[in-house]
Amino acid sequence: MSDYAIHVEHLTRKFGDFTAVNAIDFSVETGEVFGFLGPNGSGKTTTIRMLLGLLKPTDGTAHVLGTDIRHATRQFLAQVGYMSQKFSLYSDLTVANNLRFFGRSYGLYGQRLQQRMEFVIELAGLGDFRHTPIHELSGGWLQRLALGAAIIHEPKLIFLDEPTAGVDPVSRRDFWELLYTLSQSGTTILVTTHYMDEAEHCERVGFIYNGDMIAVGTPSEIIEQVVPGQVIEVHPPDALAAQQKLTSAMRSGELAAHGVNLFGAAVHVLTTDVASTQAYLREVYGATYQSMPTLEDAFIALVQQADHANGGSPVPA
Amino acid sequence: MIGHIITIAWKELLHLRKDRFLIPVFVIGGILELSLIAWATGQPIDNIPMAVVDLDQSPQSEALIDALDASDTLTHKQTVSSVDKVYDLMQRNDAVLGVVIPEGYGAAVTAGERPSVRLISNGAEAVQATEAERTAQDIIFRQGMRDAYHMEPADYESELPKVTVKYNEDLKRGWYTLPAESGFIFYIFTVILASLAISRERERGTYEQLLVMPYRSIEVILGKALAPMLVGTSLFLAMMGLTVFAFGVPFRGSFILLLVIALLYLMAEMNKGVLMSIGSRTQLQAMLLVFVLAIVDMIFSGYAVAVDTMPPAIRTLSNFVPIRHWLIIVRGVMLKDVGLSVLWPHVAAILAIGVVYATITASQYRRHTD
Amino acid sequence: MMLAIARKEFIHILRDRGTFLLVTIGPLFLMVIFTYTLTTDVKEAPLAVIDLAHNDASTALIDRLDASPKIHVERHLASADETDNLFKRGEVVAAVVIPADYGQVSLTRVPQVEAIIDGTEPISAETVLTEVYQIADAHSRELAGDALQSDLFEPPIYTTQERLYNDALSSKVDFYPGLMGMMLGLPAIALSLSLARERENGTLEQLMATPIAKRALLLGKLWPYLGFGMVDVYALLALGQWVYDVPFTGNLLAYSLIAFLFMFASLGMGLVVSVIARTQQVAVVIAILVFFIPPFFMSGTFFPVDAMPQLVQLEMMSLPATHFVTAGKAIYLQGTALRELWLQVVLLTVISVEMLEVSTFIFRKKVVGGFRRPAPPVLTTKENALS
Repeated sequence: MSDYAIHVEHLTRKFGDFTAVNAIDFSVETGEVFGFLGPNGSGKTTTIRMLLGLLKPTDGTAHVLGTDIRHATRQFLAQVGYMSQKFSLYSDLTVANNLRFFGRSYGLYGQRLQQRMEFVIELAGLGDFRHTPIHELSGGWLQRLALGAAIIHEPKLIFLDEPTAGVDPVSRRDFWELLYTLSQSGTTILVTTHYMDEAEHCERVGFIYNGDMIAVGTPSEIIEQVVPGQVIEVHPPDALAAQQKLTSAMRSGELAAHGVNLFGAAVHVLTTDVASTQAYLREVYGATYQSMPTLEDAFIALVQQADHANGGSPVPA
Repeated sequence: MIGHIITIAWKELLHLRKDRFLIPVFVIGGILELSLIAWATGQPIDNIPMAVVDLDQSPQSEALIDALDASDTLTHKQTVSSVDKVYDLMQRNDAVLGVVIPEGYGAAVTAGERPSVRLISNGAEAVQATEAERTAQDIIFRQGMRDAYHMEPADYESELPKVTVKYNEDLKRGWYTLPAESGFIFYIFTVILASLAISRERERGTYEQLLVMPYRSIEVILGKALAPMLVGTSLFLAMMGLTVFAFGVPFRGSFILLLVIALLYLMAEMNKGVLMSIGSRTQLQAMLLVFVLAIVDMIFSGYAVAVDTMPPAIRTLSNFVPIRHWLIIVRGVMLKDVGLSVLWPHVAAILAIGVVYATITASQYRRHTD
Repeated sequence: MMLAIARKEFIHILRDRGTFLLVTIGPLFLMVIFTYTLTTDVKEAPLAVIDLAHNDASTALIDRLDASPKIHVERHLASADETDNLFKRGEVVAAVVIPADYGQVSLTRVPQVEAIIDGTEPISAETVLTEVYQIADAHSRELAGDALQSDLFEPPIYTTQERLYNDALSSKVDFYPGLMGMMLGLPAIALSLSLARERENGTLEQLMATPIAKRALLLGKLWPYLGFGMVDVYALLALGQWVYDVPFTGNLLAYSLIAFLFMFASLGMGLVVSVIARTQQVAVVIAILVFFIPPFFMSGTFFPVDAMPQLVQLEMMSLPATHFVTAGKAIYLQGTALRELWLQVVLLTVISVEMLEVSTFIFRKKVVGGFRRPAPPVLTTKENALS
């Protein structure tokens, strides 16, 4: 257990009758980049807030950096960093003002504070904007600055709650580069996202859906388990009709597949029996494309299983 | 601990410096309002319009009318022929006082036969009417003494009740209103600043960040309170300076004593502001809360009207409003040179209220994210 | 189109608890508090008596002082030395010293009491002063008259008093119609807030994109508040009539017209405020300055309007509350006929039309291009997004 930066057992949080987080278990090893995935409203933020001691769990336990989160102390808070989903910097203050405030809040003063501020400014590439009020900065820079502010005190563990929401793809890539750098220096990172391409960069991921942890493991493990085989993609003229048709074909056993998903104008068919499926599809739709299943395929499959178990409630938007 | 408090206070002051709206509006607005009230309350109630029905037309009746007109309080606006005309004028608000001098007035008064003069007042202007009635009765009495007995005030003054007014010898309304108003301005400004302190963070989404920083609740609250305290104290000094030096309200007591109590008082109000801040989701809500509370305070405090004239239930409730105690203290120290030996119950009340607010605030601060 | 907007706004008022309270309970609630607490009528002010005579005459005087509804004898003191302390503690507001020879009247000497008044609260001090003076004066005249069997000490001229509209000269009656102007400003504050909120949320921009005429849009927003405001008018009248004993003597129809015009004008002003203000906070502050403070001053509660500086008076003329308080008070208390008040009716109408035009103008010019608050830099990349 001491190797774990985070160790969660049966963690539960209820708001009235509503169960936001339902007895989840998972662990994050020290130095790991752990991706915490799930649609909006599935319980990601609630879990993070419990792990930070901002919310008391209704049931279950969690240890973060060896501290029982029911008794989160200031010493504990000083060792973690947090970049919240909401905008966490003071928009009317300048870059330097913000960093100075963050630094001092974590007990950095004098030389050390100066050093760390310079480090963060360089990290975010804001050397020329030290005295710019940050409401004048654009999205990607702000994101990096917010990350920099969250790690100014060199925390052992950082929580990033949807850090890249609303940021353009190039900035997102840069941001992840930063995360790897951090991780290599030994920092444990727990990051939530709903971008599946980002999730594949994580060492391990956990899927949370409607408050339930429906899968935990490395990305390849999960794909292997949930969507074994390959993806065959077809581009029918009417994708929706095709999806319905293929689904009934699959259910009747006519099509040897275990998943038919709509992807924009394309339909993905998951199968282990590549040859026969490909033949079947080619006959109906002409050209097919073959690829490896992605985490997204796995997540859709997992969600369908969960919904099926729950009597088919739809995925919340 | 101290470092943490200063860090928060420093950040809060930075916010204030960047805000181009709050500080100018309040400083300029405060000075304007104080000046306006100084001006308005400096004006005596005078030149009240008077209508006269002179049915006598004698030298004595004319002398009486002149005497009434000569007073600052009354101005002879019109002479009309009948009482009905006076009613008409009143309905159009062209007269607040009507004086009807009966036929034979001159002869009767010189003969010592005590004629009767009829006064009609316009109750729709109750404040002016009260003043007008009082002045008219006084002048009519003096004029009667002159006409009937050839006596001047000096001759009979000793036979009238003697009245001495203390502390505010000329009953200047400004001396009552201005210390209250200046107190009110620095108080409301401070509370608004305090109330924005946390709601601002919440609205901008920075509140959670603050919560995960390794601060004690008390450090955040004190830090958040320090900036408004600084601003409030300077505003207190400025407003007091204006009140005393520009508007001439005397300062008879100990300034140091008042300053110390002012700090205690500010601390109590500030805690209230921070508490409201914690209780509201947006800055707007916080400001509305302050606004509602300010009205309540203004009313319960004796800011405008003496608390003694209020119903007993309200008088009791008003004890829980810090500004009520503050106003008693500020008026007492400034006008009556009252010391701590008399004021201690009020100082104690302010302290107690402050402690209660602070306790609630500290207990609410972290819990409120749920 | 206008009706659709009006209906939407009406539903919005019903749904939003803050707005709803502000336009319904708000005016009544504030009125109750204000009427209870803003009255300057002095009741049973505490008095100290230093009776050095201890005879029938002094006892009779004390009884008479105590019988007055305005004052009551709180303390009996042995000497005048203690009065200062009582003043400082605020336990009494006046002290009456009755001399040892009180009641021993001769032709050459009428012993008189001395009254010491605490002037810290000038308004009530003046009332107490007058009351004590009049009671003591009348009593000593009676004593002298009885002792000397002469009417020499009667006042040389009697006065009879007649008070119109407000027999007790109660300040409450004087202020009530003025305070109504203040309470009826609340719907205008609510309107400014609601519009400012729509601007802040960006829903106003949405409405701007629809082909609704701007004036119709603004008018549509205005009607529901006007409706609630009129209900407030009658509720406040009822409150005054039956709870506070401030009798309505005029023509209800005339009053309704004046109130309607006033509400329309101040709501128009509310529109202007909200199209000028960039955020709700600014809107609140301006709205309070425009709608709440002026009627407070105008109500005559503390400041005689005639005594205000010319500039302020001029400014007051441009505010609808001024005309409403003048005309409304005349109708309410004095039963003045509407034709006497034509000037106020004209002015209120002019302000209403003007405000609507001004707000429409600014609305067109400014709101369309003028959203200063930029949307957060969201670059939605939907590819791969799950939700």
